[in-house]
Amino acid sequence: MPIDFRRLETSKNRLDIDWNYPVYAPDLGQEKVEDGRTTTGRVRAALPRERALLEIRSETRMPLLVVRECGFCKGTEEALLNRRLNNEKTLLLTKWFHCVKLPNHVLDADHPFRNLFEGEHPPHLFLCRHDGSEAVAMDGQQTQSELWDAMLSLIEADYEGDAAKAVKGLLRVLDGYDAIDARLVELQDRLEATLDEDGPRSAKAKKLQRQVDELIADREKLVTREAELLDLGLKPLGEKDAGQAPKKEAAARR
Amino acid sequence: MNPSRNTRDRSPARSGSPSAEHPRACRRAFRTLRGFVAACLVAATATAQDEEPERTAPPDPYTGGRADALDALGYVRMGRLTWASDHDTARIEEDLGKIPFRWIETAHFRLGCALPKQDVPRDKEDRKALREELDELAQRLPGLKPRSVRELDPWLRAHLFAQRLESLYERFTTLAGVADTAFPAEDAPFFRGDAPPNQKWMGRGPHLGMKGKFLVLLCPTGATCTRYLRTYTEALHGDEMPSRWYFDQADAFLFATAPDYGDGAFQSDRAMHAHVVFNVAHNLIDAFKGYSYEIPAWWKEGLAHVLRREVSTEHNNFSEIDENSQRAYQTFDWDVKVRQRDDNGLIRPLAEILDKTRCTDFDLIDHAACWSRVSFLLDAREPSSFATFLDRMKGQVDSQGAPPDPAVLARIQRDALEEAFGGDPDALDAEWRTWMRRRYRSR
Repeated sequence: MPIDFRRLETSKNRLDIDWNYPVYAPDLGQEKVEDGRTTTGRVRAALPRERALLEIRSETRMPLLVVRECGFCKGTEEALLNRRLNNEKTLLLTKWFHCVKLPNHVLDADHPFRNLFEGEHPPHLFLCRHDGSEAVAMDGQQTQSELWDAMLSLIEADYEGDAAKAVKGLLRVLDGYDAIDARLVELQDRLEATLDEDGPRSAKAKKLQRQVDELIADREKLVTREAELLDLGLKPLGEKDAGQAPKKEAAARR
Repeated sequence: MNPSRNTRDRSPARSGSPSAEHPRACRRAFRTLRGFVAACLVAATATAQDEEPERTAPPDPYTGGRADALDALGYVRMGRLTWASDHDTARIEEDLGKIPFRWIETAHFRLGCALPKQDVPRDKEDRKALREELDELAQRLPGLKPRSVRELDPWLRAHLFAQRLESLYERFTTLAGVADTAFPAEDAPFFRGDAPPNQKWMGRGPHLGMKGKFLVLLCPTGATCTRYLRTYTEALHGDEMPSRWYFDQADAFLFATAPDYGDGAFQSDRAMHAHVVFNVAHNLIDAFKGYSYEIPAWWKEGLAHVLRREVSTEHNNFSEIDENSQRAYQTFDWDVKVRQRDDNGLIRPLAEILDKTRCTDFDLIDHAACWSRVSFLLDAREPSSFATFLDRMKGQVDSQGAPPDPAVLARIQRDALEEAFGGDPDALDAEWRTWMRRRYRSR
C-alpha cells in the first residue's frame, strides 16, 4: 500500500489559519434602511495608517499578519503559502499572529484601509508589531525562509517563549494526531460493521469500543500538550509600548 | 452572449496585472517548460486564467432588465434591493469589495448570487436533473435554449437559484397546507393582542408569517461570506461556515454560504442546490407562523433532510452532528443503514429525542432516523396530517405574543402527534418500524 503523507482530520483543522476580516462600518446600525432608499450616500475616505491599524489589530497585542486579496489569489492563501513546498511551519507560525485578510478593493483610493498599503507598488502582505512598528512588507513572491525569518523575529519581539522550538513540538503533536486519527478511522469502520453484523452486545463490539475510547483519551492528552506549546506568553507592555497604545474605538467588525 | 466577458471595472489603483503581482507563479510555469512553443501556450493560458475578476455584475443578457421579462419570471425586481434593517445591497457591495452579485427579488425571496460560472455536469444523473430545470426555466425565459447550454454562466446560475427557491417555497406551503393569503398583510398589526378574538396567530407578516422576505446570499468565496456574516450578523463564533441568521428588526431570515466552505463541498451546482434547499428549508420552518421559539429538532431536521434528498440523495448536510469522521458525508444509503441499525436495536426511540431542540448529540444514524420518521409521516398519512401537525407546533404564542415554556411545548407536541397522526411517540415508532421494514431493503 502506498504511504499517504497527507494530514488527517484533526491535524488539518489545526493547520487552518484563523483569519479576521475587518470591515470599517462605524455607521452600521445607526440608520434604518427603508424600501427604496439606500445607504450609499455616506462619504468614504481612507483612514490615516495609524487609525487603520487600530481598527484591524487585536485586543491582545499580538503581532499582525495582513494580507490583501487579489484577482490572482481569488480568496486563496497563494500570497502567503507556496504550492510546491511544505507550508506547515508557516501555518503554525501564524498561530502567534493576528491574521487579517482584506478584500482586493482595499487599494481603491477611498477605501478606509487604503493607507495600510502605501507606495507606488503596494505590498501584497505585511507583518508588523501590534502598534505598526517593525513592519516587513512582502510582495507575495518572497521565499519561505524570508517569510519565516520575518515571522520569527516579530514573535521574538512580542512573546516570551521560543517559537522555533514550539513549532518542532507542534509538528510532533500533529504526527501524533495523524497516528491516532488513522487508527480511529480503521477501528470505527470495524466497529460500524460489527454493530451492523453482531449487534452492540457482542464481545467484538465491546472490545472495539474500548479501543476507540482509549484512542480518544490519548488524543485529549495531545490536545493538552498542544495548548502548552502554543502558549508562548506575550511580553508585558514596556513603557514605550504603553505610550503608543491608544484606546481603540471599536468600529470595525471582524 | 457570455456576460462574464463584459466590461470590467478597472480602477487605476488596480491597473497592475495579477501576473505582475505574482512573478513567482510565472517563473514557476516557465521553469517547467522546455520548449518555446509550450511556454507560449502556457503563458496564453495563464493570461486567460488571471483575468481581472468582475467587480460589478454586467447586465443580465437573458432578460435585458425588461419589465415584461421580469414579469414572466415572476420577479419583483432586479438590481439594488433593500436587504436587512441597517444595510442594503449597495452597502453590501461597497463593504465587501464590489463583488459582482446578481440581485433578484422574487415573490418570497431576495437573492444575491455571485457564484462563478460552471460547466454543465458530466454526471448523467446530474445533467438530466439540470436539463429538466433548464427546460422549466426556458418556459418563462424565452431567450434560453436549454439544449445549447454548455456552461452555467453567473446570470444563469442566479436565475436557476431564484427558480429553485420559489419551487422550494411552493413545496413547503403545499406540505403546510397554506396559501399566502393565510398570513397577515404587510401593514397588518402584529401583536397577538391586536388580533380579533379567536383569530389564529399566523405571525407578523405576509412571508409565511415574517415581515421580511427570505434572504439568500450565495457568495463567490468563503472569505467574502465570512466578511459579510461577521460584519452584519453575530452568526459566527469561531469557525467560518455557512450560516442561517434571523434579523429581528427586519423580521427576516438569511442563509449565506459559499462554494469553498466545507473544504469545497459545495463546488458543484448540484451540491450547492442540495445545500441551499436544506438550509432554506430550515428557515422556512422556523419562519412559519412567526419565529418565537425553538421547535423540536427531530422533525425540523428530518423534514429538511427529506426536502434535500428530493434534490440529491448525496451531498449530506447537517445542522449539527456528533461525528468526527468522514462517514457522515460519505454514507448515502440511509435507508439501508437505518434498517440495519434498527435490526440490532440501535435506533434511539423517538420518545428519547422528542423534545430536544438541538441536534448536537445526533450522529449520522440519528439524522437518518429523523429523515426516515418524517418520510413515514408524509407517506403513511393523509397530506393534511402533516399540515395539521405543523399548524399545531408553530405559532403557539399567548395573547401577548410570548412563547410557551419548554414543558408546555412538550405537551403541545404530544397533543399534536396524537391529533395529526393518531398516536403517541411509542405507538408511532412501532408503526414506523413496520413501514420501514416494508420499504427499506435490509442491505
